[in-house]
Amino acid sequence: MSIVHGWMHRVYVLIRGERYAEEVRREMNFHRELDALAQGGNSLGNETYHRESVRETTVLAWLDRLERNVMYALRGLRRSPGFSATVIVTIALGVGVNATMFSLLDRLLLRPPPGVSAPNELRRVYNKPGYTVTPRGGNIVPRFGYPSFAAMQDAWRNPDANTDATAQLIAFTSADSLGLGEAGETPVRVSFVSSNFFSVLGVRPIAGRTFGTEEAAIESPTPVMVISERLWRSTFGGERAVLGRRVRIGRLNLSVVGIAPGDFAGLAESAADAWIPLNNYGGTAISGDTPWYKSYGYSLTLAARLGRAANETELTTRANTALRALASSMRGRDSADLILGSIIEARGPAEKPSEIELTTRVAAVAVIVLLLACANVASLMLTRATRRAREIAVRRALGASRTRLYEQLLTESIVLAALGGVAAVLLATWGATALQRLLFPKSHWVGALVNWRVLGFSAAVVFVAGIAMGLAPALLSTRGDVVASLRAGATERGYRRSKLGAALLGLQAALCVVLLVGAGLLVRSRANVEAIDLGIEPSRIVFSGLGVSREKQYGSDITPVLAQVSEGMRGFPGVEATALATSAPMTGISFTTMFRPNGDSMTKIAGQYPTYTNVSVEYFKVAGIRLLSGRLFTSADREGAPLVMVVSRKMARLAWPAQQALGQCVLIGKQNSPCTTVVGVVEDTHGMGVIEAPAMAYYRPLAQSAGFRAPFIVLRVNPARAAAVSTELRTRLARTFPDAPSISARPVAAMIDSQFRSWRIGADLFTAFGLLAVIVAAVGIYSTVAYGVAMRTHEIGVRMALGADVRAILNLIVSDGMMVVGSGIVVGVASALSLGRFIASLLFGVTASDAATLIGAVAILAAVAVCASLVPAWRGARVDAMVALRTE
Amino acid sequence: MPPAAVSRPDVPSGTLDMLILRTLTLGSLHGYAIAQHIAKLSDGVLKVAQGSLYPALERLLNKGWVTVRWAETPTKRQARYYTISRSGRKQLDTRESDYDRVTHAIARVLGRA
Repeated sequence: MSIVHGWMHRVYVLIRGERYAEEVRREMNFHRELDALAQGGNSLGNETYHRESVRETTVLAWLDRLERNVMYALRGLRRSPGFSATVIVTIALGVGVNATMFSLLDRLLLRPPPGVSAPNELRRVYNKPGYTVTPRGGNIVPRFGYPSFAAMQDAWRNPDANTDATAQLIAFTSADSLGLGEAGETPVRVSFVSSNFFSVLGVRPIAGRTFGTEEAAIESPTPVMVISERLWRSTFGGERAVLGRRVRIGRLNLSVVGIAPGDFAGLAESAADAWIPLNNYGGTAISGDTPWYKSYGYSLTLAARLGRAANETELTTRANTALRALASSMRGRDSADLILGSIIEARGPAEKPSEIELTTRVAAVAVIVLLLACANVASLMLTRATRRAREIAVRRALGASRTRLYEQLLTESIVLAALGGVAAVLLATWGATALQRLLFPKSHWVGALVNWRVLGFSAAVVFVAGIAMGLAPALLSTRGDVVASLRAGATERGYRRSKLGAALLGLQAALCVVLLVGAGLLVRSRANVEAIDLGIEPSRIVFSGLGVSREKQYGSDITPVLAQVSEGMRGFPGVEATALATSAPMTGISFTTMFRPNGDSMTKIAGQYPTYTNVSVEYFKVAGIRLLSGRLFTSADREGAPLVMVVSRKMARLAWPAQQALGQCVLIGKQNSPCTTVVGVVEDTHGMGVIEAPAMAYYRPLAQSAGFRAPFIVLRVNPARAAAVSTELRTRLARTFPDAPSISARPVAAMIDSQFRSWRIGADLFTAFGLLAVIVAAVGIYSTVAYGVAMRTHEIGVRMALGADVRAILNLIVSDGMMVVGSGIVVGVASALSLGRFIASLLFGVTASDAATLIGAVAILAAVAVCASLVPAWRGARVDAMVALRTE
Repeated sequence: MPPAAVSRPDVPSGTLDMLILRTLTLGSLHGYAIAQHIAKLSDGVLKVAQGSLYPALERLLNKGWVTVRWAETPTKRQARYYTISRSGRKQLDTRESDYDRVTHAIARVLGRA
């Protein structure tokens, strides 16, 4: 308890401040009066002295000293504004980029979803089907189909007799934008959720109700929704009358039944503003023959709240058994395995989006920038402390204790760091938002990015950095012979190279090389990614997609209708050629079954499935796919003519490794289908991703593929007119298909642009940090060399008097600094090589030990170092020998 | 110059805290009363000057061994009354037994025990 009492007293004194001093004065007056009464007017002692000695033991004395130290530090910093500004800016950049990165990492990796009760009981449920599910080869996704959700929910709800492990499972879709209002004028992010979503998450409405058993039946849509407090205030004016009101959202007509609290944003990566029962979900999806909730797919994200006695292994086993039973009951479905992972998506087992990988790597780079900034500031402080040797010697001679001097020097560096920290937080408030827009443009997050956690983080960094950069100079400058320093100041003690100074300079060079190598590798990766030959010309292709729900209205096949629209586009300015296809370039792939003439299955060739596209005659010309041998389709390849196909280079090589592909016969679909002859071989194309090994592909004429729908219009355009053509195409389609639930038309280049984004941003961010590092290192080298020159003015004078010319002096000074920078570079190259695997996932077509990049980084730093040391060296060497000799 | 006791011997260093804590076991007292009590019990040998009493009390406050509040004296004046805390009593016990051991040891060395 004594600690509590003691600290309570200290806090009391701190709060009362001068009023406490007054209390003590009154107390001592009282004592003196009683004393005087007892001893007949003879008051003993010096009142002021007594009061001061009490004050010395209170925390007030500590405050006084702190105030004196801070004032002293501020006076000192005002006297050398150039130094102060450099240090403050350096720290602001170092701490600022770290605060920025921390605020993003905090949001992505550290903070559980807000507004949810007991988030530590929540798990996100991951799906591991036995095949690759992402373009980059990942095989875990955080998504399930509805049948799996229902099966797992049952498996966990009804425990066996011998266990009481239970978990409640919820399902939701990612927050997608739907138009709110009659004309859909307000875009609102909507998440479809299972009926137990709010109750399992422990979210209580601030008004109305959330969903319950009324909404549980998946077959019958319940026209209700819950809106967020944000939406309620912004769009519905915060009026209570909104409850029960019918609102049109997307194609649904729903009444608002409840308002969720403002800090709750759902569990999807983007914050949702409205939640709709899952039984409405089919309403916005393209409906087929089976309802969506009976078919497989990856539309739902699942989360579980573990019960009190929940054993995760046991729950997983039980769910897997249920999933297997489900798979065997649904013919032809592969079974999946389930994994329970962190509720924070970025910490889960699934393949991370490249933006998250990039963010963590950039955060590591930011730490290197901070180290660099600290090394730089420490060397500046060291230089300054050495210059102030005489001042410090005088103060010691006058009786200042070592502790006092440490206190003062550390206060100075912490004051500097704190000023830099304030600038850093300002930088971070701006930077975090800018970076979020850059890296996660489609995500919407609730609440400020820079919050008390970020402020606390920055304050801790500032404090540690302040001590780190002030400690060494403080220790160094209070050491040594007072009398010698007093007599000579700094210069006459002779120029001794400071080991600490050299180490700091070398460290800066090394860190700078690491950052430059990183920047170089990312820039080269971006160039490599942009140089990938996709086999098509994305900037010249515009394609349209059409979601058709009631195709019967246009007859059994809408292809002729689309062909008309396509033909009609031919005269539009900028359109060079038109085609129809069953899938557009880069929009996805389809598989079918194939046999050889002898009846052997060709479905899987060399472990892969060939993909097919049925195309009109002009397609190859439109997409820019190059013919390698044989011929392309002509108008003669129509129904009734011999069946023909064109295969990709890869398919030609894998399906007929020992023979010519041209002239080969394939039976498509069934073993008794007629023979389809290969008439041409074309270049490989990418099916979905910029970064993928092109799949085997074959093409057949649309005219010979009755029964296939070809919903894609593909146009070859002049790149400058791509946007105008897209708009026109969309307008014409909307006119032709007024009831289509979705119509899109855009250039392929715009669609795949997002795949280049993370490469571009990565290269830009790393380059920015690399440049920053070079500037900081240049300042460090300049100041260290300039300081060395100042210290050696006398020596330079002697050398010049003895006949050394300017070149010899330049050589002397520059080579001195370059020795240190050189060894720093060696260390830097070694570190860059060993850190390489850390950024391997951000690289493409270049390894971390790329010689050209390493040489480039070293060359840049060496050139900067020579320039930064030549300037002060040149100034030093031009000094008149007599003036230099007389400096003392 | 500190106006400490000129003719009388000073309170031995390190024992002032103990004397104050022991005095406070009688009850809550103000500073003057503490000094008076120590002087009276020691027949005026131990004189606690303001310059050492109040810094010592402030130290004890910082350690949490005593607490303080303003209260009215019997003569209707306002004064700060100090009270020993539970940890202060514990501290007093250790201090006293340490002191006993040391004085006993010194006495033996001086050949008086």
